[in-house]
Amino acid sequence: MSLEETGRPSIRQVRTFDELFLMEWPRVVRVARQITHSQSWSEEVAQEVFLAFYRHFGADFPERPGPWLYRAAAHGALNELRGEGRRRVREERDARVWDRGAPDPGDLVATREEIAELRRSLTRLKQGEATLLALRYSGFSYNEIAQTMGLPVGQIGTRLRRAELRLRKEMDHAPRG
Amino acid sequence: MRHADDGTLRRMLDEEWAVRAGVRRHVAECGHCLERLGLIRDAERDARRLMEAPDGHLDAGQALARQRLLQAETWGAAIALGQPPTRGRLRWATGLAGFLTLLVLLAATPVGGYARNLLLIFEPRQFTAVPVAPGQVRSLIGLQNLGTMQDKGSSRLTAEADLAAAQAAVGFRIATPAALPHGLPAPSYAVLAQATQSLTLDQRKLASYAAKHHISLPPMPKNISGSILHVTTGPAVVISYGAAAAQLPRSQRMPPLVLAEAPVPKVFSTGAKVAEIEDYVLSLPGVSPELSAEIRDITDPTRTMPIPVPMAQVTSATVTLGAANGLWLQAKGQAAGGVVWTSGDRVYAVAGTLGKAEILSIASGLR
Repeated sequence: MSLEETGRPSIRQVRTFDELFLMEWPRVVRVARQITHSQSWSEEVAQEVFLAFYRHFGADFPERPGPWLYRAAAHGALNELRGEGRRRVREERDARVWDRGAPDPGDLVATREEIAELRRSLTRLKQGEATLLALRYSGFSYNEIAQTMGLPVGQIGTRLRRAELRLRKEMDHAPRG
Repeated sequence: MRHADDGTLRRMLDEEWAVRAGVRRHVAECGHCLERLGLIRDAERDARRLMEAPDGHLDAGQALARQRLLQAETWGAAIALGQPPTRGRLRWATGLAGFLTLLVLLAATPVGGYARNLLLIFEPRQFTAVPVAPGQVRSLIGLQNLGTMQDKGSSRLTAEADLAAAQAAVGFRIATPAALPHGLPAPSYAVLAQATQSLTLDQRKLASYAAKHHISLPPMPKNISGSILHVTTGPAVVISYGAAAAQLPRSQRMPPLVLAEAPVPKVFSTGAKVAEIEDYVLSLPGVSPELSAEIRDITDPTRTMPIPVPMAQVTSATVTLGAANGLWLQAKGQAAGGVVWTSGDRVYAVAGTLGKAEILSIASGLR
């Protein structure tokens, strides 16, 4: 199964940047959101991803732009989290939103403290581990993850298991605050 | 049969169909494998609960409109610098001035004693083209290597619903064209919040850069290291009519018409003698004697912002817009071009693919 066999239009049918944007925007945002856990933040990351894509490729799209976009979304979101200042500002803003009782839609499942801790823990994972978690929990199949990360599909289960254990370990050992 | 490995068990939780039937049967009957499967499932549930982030409302059309504005802003910086701009450069440049802005602000002649705290040393009222040779801008030492840069405020564009919303966001009355060519698409509005960026000049950082790149740099004088420069920009509004044609090469992509307006940027300094800083920065590698002479030749450096113009790719000309003088920039051999000028305490830019005459007419008719 290829990325083009998941019910979305084939990339060969996409002629313009705008068509590509409209087709891939939801998925790129979703990958970033698995890492930032913030809807608004993930949309900002996704805008930067498409801007970088536009600067890098212009009108000469690769045949399959998806893997480039998804990897860039995960890496861009992780870079945002690694900026301590940016992360703190965002967490303070999240806190204000929570206090008003209108949480960001991306922040509904884990608690606010867990999300802050999760963000810090994700930055301590290897980039490949965090990317793998983001892709899997965005709903990517093992085949899609393998294509996006350039790995044999037979390795995905093992790497995913390892990444989940590492995440738990980082969460358990994360310094508070 | 051998026990299933952890990776296979993990995949069984998500895509059982992908695991061979023989392995599935073994796992169903093997206490050891079932016990491990249970542990792996617990870890998966734990990770899922943490990682889960439900979809929020997405408006891809609105997002695309914002993307077009970001691309238009990128294009504006690219024409000024002759190369695809980076995000960091955009933050400093707010679209048009690059490294040379610093050179000029450092070359500025202060009005009064600049040893006092936080003096306004640069407030541009006009623009001038400074020709640079191919590769010259790239050879300059980046601002980030001269010290520590800090951003305060957002450097991102926020889409606004209409003119009234954009005016409310920027807090000033936005000039609009008196007349527009027929057939232009409806405008979209975006706002860039006010931002302050500062650069703390730091000898240690520059020395570390020099060591890393195995280059020899003159030491930064003690009274310069530690000085802080503050640049205040925005709020700015960007009005975009239509989108760039995606099939064009990226260097030529630009909407038919883009207007921008902002208060003139201001630069403040906390200390060191400006003439000393100027001498030092102009002595750094990458600043050619010709470029240095161009910068020093600016008659009113406190009020003139240089726009670096790569001679091979961009043409420039001074144009008259009513009572003001503007600087016209156009990429050679391409339809896209734009004009930038100041009037009162505002800086304006009008650019696009409509052609020079049309764009200058629209610029002259802003009210």
